[in-house]
Amino acid sequence: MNANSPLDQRLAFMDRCTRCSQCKFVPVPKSREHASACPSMDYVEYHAGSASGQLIMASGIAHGEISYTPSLLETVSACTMCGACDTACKINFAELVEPLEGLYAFRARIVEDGQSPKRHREVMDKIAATGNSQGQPRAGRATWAAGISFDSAPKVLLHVGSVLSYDTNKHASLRLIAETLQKAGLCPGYLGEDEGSCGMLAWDLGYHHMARSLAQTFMAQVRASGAKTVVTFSSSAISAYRSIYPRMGLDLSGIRFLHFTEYLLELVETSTLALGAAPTYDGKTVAFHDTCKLGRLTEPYQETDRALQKEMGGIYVSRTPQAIHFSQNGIYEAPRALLRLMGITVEELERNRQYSYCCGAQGGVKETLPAAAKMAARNRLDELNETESSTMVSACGNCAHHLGKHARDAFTVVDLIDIVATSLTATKGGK
Amino acid sequence: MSAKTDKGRLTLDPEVRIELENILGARNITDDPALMSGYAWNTGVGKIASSDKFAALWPIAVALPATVEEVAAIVKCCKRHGLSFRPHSTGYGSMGCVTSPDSICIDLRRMKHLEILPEDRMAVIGPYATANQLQAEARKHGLTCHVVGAGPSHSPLASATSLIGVGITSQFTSANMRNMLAWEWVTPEGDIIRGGSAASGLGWYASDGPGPGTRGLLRGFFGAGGGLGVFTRIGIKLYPINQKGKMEVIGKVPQLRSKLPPHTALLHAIFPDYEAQRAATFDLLQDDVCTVLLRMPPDHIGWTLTRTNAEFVQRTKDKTLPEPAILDNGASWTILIASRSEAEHRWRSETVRAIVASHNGRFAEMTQEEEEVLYHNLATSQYVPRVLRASGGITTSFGVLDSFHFLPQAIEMGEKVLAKDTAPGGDLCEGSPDEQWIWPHEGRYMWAENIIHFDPTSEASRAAGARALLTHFADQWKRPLGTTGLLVGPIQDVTGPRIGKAPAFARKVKSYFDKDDRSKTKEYVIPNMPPVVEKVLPAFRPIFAFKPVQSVMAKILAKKGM
Ligand SMILES: Cc1cc2nc3c(=O)[nH]c(=O)nc-3n(C[C@H](O)[C@H](O)[C@H](O)COP(=O)(O)OP(=O)(O)OC[C@H]3O[C@@H](n4cnc5c(N)ncnc54)[C@H](O)[C@@H]3O)c2cc1C
Ligand code: SF4
Ligand code: SF4
Repeated sequence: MNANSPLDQRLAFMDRCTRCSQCKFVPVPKSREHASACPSMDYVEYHAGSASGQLIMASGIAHGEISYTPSLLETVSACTMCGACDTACKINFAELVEPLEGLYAFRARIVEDGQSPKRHREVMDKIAATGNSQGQPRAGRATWAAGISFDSAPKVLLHVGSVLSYDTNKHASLRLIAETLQKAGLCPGYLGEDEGSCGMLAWDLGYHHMARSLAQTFMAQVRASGAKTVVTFSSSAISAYRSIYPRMGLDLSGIRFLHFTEYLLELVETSTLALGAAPTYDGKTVAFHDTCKLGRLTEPYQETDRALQKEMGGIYVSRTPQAIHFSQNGIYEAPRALLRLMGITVEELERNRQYSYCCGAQGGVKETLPAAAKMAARNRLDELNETESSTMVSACGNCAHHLGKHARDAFTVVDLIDIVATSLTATKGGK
Repeated sequence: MSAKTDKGRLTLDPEVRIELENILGARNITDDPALMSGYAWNTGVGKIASSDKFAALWPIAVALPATVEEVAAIVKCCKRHGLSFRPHSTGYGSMGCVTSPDSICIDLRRMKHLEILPEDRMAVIGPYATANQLQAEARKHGLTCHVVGAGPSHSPLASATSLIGVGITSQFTSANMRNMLAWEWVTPEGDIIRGGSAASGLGWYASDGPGPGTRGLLRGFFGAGGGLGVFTRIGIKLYPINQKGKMEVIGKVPQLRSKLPPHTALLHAIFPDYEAQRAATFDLLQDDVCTVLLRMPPDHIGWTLTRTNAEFVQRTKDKTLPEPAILDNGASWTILIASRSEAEHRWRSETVRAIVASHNGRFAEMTQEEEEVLYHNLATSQYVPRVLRASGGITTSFGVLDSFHFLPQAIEMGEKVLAKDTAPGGDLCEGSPDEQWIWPHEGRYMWAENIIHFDPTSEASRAAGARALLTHFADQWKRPLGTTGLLVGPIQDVTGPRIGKAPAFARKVKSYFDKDDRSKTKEYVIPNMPPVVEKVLPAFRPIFAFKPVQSVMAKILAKKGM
């Protein structure tokens, strides 16, 4: 046993799993159809697919009860690292188990043991070579911004993220937003081809050292730019900034990290920008999909002493209860507020906000087990059947793309950025 | 099947694997140790854990059938090859772990059938229609199901067919040993039997007709714990509630709350002592004014009303927990009144208030938020899983099923078993001296069961948990207090005729349906016991009740688990 290994540090927490199965379900389901919280359990079916099952496998590896097998690695690869299990478990167990921390530690151990699945290794090779998981050339990263000149000493630095950078369907919206910001005299900066991966996927796949090195590079770029605010279009990036970077011992002081929905809402509320009625959607009702990374996984992480101590004859007590994650303070309101400001009625899916069901786009599942990712997307889209809406809106390019790819019948999926971009105008003059 | 792994576990014969693959498809059968590890997890929840996190016995394979025919085919395959099997619904705690080295675990996860028949006030469910799902669907029709203390994610089918079935709302949702109406059953021989009028093509509404009750035969009070084949579908009773539609949840994780529906009140009555509480109980039950009556130990109420253990411990030390969570206020009832009209509600509330006052009781001050937290937990039965938060290790005494006349004695017995070790400096987690959970079943009899909290990582604490259980037996033998509800395995036989002829009868049932003991479990009777042994075992009672023997046994259990 290696006391410094993340898995060994979490082992006692894992070993407290009571196998109660609550992590498989949203805390209070509204129907049997949409009771599940866990896409990997839905795909794997054996208990191993659940958070509890993965913690037990991790414990089995740590205690030498089991060895790595192809089934173990495939099962772990079906987990989207969406954290719904963590929310559900904490309803009863608060600080006692904290499954998501265990899942992070397990993946790190798999990498440490040289057992990372081939597909994960391939993704990491692409990130190392090109700065994005798709292996797209660096040279193409900033084509969306051709002709736009960015400030070289900006107050605000835009981070676009790998997905939107290479999704040509999103380039018009990105341009519109950047241009509107400039018209409002805000003049943000942008790293262009030097922008790399935020490190979130590397973290999720268990490559914590690589994630830290990517984070370090990015923070050095932020410092060099002089910007005090980073605005990202990526839900993975905002999750990384707020909930992963603080674990890495990086100096984040004095930098504000915002998701573009928060930033735009702030600018609209301070009348720097105006948001008009959305051309196609005004007066319509849409259902909102809370992206896990944007919602429960953006809860700020506090680096602190997370150990438990025994009190009153064996009651496990957190030394820093204020730092326990309860899926609060994620970004739930800003995207909804933007939709409402554009005259759109927002309808809630049965599993919403911190209880949202992952669409399968994250955690490397899309790349590694497409069938599992597809099943998750279909499960999520089926939730539209319980609403009046036939349109699902997501504020994450990754989710919107993945859900859109698997939408059937009359259902459509729309990326919030595409609605906002055309409704946004500057109220102040240019520079 | 004779081959063994490097851990000395039996392996699945390739020939059997091919047969099972043909029945289920390759994806639905596994003997991969990693995938099977989740079926060998020794949580010790509800039992005494050993220090090992993994059970000594692992299944030789886990099967995931989707239909009753597939289940029957698996059972027949086991029979052909001399293997045993163990049915597994959601597998809460470790109660579905295999108990023999040659067992296949039949995980019924893919059998999720759930159909509400509102006119018949029943549902037809499969093993993986969990309580939270059943409740969500039933609520759409203004109905609810009985949710046992295991909480929202257990299987009501497993509960109603095979394991206990007691739960905190029993006053109006009965108990699951009385809630099963019809059944589809794969016998240990692999035959498919449907009980009640389902078999005559009249649909599923089918309680037992005149004559001996099949339900009693199949499950008795405790259930066969997986020792009588596999149940694949049942009809289960639903009960009307005074609200139709989704349960609206407010509050932030982890303190979820629900607004009380119209004509509903959540009160917490505190009595000067247990005699007064007993007297009030008879009046409250006689007038049939309470929808739910629940006595939780005060510290467990404290766990429910606090977000984290840290908050609970801090507030215990600061003495800032609300009245119901103060140890001195143990003689108490949490009372839910759920009425259908203003007039009914006025009458019920006034009657409850008058009865409580007439026995010198009073009502605790609670904030609206506290009331809503308690109501939410009562309606969803989240209380018991939350109680596990303290240390992750609980077990339970053997349950007292008797008249409310014995309420004070039940508390006394709880104190005798626990008070020393739950006091500061004792070997168990600190808590109430008795830790008794008490509630009425259908207004008739009292269920009392004390929850024993131990620290599973400490051998001394595990031994104290075991000691508490053994003391409870000895006490029950010396001064019987009702039926000991949760007796299984050899201890039933040691207890002997004091619980009637139940073990002997259950053994007959087991031997009749499962001659070769293929449906393997330790949560039923010992099969095929010679009558002479059956007769002799009760004679061992004084030995088991002898303090030094108990002490040695407790130490062994703390090491090896049970
Ligand atoms: C913390 C905790 C609290 C609990 N509180 C209560 C309580 O208050 N009241 C109560 O009644 N019980 C309680 N239990 C016991 C138990 O969890 C419940 O009875 C529950 O209903 C079992 O459901 P399950 O899906 O977990 O069953 P499993 O664990 O899957 O199975 C339970 C038993 O039933 C057998 N079984 C399961 N499915 C079938 C089937 N389809 N056919 C035949 N046999 C089957 C299994 O072999 C096993 O013996 C508690 C357990 C724990 C761990
Ligand atoms: S991870 Fe938490 S919710 Fe899941 S089985 Fe374990 S204790 Fe229960
Ligand atoms: S992180 Fe998501 S997919 Fe993974 S176990 Fe938890 S709920 Fe399931």
